[in-house]
Amino acid sequence: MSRQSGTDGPSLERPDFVVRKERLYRRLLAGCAALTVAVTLGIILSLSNGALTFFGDVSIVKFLTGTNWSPLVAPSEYGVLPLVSGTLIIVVGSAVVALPIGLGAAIYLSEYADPRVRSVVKPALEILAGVPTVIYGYFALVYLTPILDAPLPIEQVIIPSWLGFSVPIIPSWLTFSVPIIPGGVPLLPEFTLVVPEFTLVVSEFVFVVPSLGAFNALSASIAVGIMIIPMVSSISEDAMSAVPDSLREAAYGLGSTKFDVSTSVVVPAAASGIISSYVLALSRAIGETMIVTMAAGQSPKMPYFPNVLRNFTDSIEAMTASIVKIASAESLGQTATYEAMFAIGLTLFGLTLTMNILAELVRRRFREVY
Amino acid sequence: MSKEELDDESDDESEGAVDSSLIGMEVADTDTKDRRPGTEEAVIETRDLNVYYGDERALHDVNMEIHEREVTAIIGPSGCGKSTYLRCINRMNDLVEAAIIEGEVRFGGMDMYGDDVDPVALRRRIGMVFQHPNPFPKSIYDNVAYGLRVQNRTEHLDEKVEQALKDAALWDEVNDQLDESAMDLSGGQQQRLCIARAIAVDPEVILMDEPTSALDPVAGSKIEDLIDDLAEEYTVVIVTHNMQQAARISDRTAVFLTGGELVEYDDTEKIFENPEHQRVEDYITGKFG
Repeated sequence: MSRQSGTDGPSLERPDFVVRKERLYRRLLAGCAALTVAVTLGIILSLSNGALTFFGDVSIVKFLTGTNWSPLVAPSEYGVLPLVSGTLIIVVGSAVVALPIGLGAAIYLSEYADPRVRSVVKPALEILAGVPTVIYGYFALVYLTPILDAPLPIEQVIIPSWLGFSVPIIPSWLTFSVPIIPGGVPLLPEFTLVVPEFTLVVSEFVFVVPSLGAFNALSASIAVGIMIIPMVSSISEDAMSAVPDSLREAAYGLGSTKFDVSTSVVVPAAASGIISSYVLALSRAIGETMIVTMAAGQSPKMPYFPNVLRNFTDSIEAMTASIVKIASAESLGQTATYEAMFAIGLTLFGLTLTMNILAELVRRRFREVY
Repeated sequence: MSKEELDDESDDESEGAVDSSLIGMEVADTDTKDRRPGTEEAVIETRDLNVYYGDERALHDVNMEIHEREVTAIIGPSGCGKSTYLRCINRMNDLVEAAIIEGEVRFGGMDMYGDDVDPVALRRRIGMVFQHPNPFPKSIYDNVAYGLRVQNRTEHLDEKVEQALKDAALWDEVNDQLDESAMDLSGGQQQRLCIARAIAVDPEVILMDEPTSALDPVAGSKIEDLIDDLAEEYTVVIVTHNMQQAARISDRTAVFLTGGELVEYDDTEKIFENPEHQRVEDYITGKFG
């Protein structure tokens, strides 16, 4: 039985209160969206404002190209490069730890682990992401550094001094290894090194890997690396799980092993997601503050080259740590040093923004529609 | 036979097979006729094959021989186990965790479900083409070269890729865009690319799981022509729910009916003109299914 259209059904008119409610919801939700945009703009504005004042006192060229950073000791110098270098050392170190391990974990979870294992391991990995960074900070300072510096695990490599300081990689037949001495006594020419087991007269030898300082970039970057592993593995695993099974079947059908399928089909097909995870994780490493402030020290310096390993055994200062240092210094007032904080902040922001833009470009290049 | 031996054998055969395949092509040009002679030799033999997915029985005591250099069609209504049967031959069902396989699948006289058989080595000798074209998101060239690369058979790669694309009747359409993404090809071209990818590694048997069902009729008929050519060199097993297709291209037809039972298996002509079983006749004449 069909109803007559028009008058005898329930009213087709929209009640006023419904219209008003809908309008209210719409405005509330739009407000939420607008707030985030407004906050972002506000941050950029306040950063730029402070930075502009700073660049009134110190030339921007000097800031960006200066190789000496000593804002708190007169005469103040404001070269940002040592700080950028400190940050990049942390980023490189944590990338070496996190990118391969995170990708490996993602491949395992997506391709190898059976569902029961995955349902336990994946949440466990994500808990790593929830650990407060201050805990990673003292983990690096109190546990990692002593372990890395302990007598047994690391041996100091010594090479004849006639090879010079400038050889970053030494063929193994040229090196001697001796257990590290707690406290790291430097070896000088004609120096006699006494270790419990034997006595060795070391002449014309120099250290290539110096002993670890109490504050060093190595443990800080390992801790940052561990912190960002879950970002890499979780996002990469999502991307790999989204690769359709038909591609896996095609590869198996051609006589691929599981490893072939994972590395030559699934990983390339998920490349855009994997790259996203890398960028997000590295942006996180750039912005990481607590760990590097606690464990990497506060001695801004230009990178050692070509003896690059020294960059990790030495104390450094990252951009974020320098902001902490200035912010916690007493009564700076409206001095250039205070304003320098904003300039560093803006540089930091520029760095992550550039990375994200680059990543987006690379991601588009690799994006696949199945 | 150990895994290594199986591997070695596949390598030996593949090296020799390039030449013999070319000879096969020449013969095909001079000697075309509707009914392939076949060798009457069984390449694949299944004995009492049963497959269960959990509690569900997908195949019911299937005994069947597949003959060398013929096109064997497997037809039947949806859910009759025809794809399951096909996937048992190259152990693709291994990837389905819930699948339990009982019985024997003999390939070249050897039980493929024996403890010492490596499914990877097996799949290098039995290629597969799937229902939906599934090219890798890589270039056309890399798609065809993929199998050769994972099998470390990269000598004369360019020539092998070209030959596979020619054999798959795709070369003329793509020879100037080998470095472009395979995802940009049409569905029919993608499916021929998948066939090129499968034959590039010179398998002995090619399994096809409804290869034309996702394609338009024109693209589908190109694939059918191609299958006809392929049977000169390869043993082809094709699952299809298109009975006209089975009648057109196959030498023998197996009819699976509900419950995973192989009801009748005979020369295609016999199946379509004078089947033994009433149920098969009913299915073929469209009374059910």
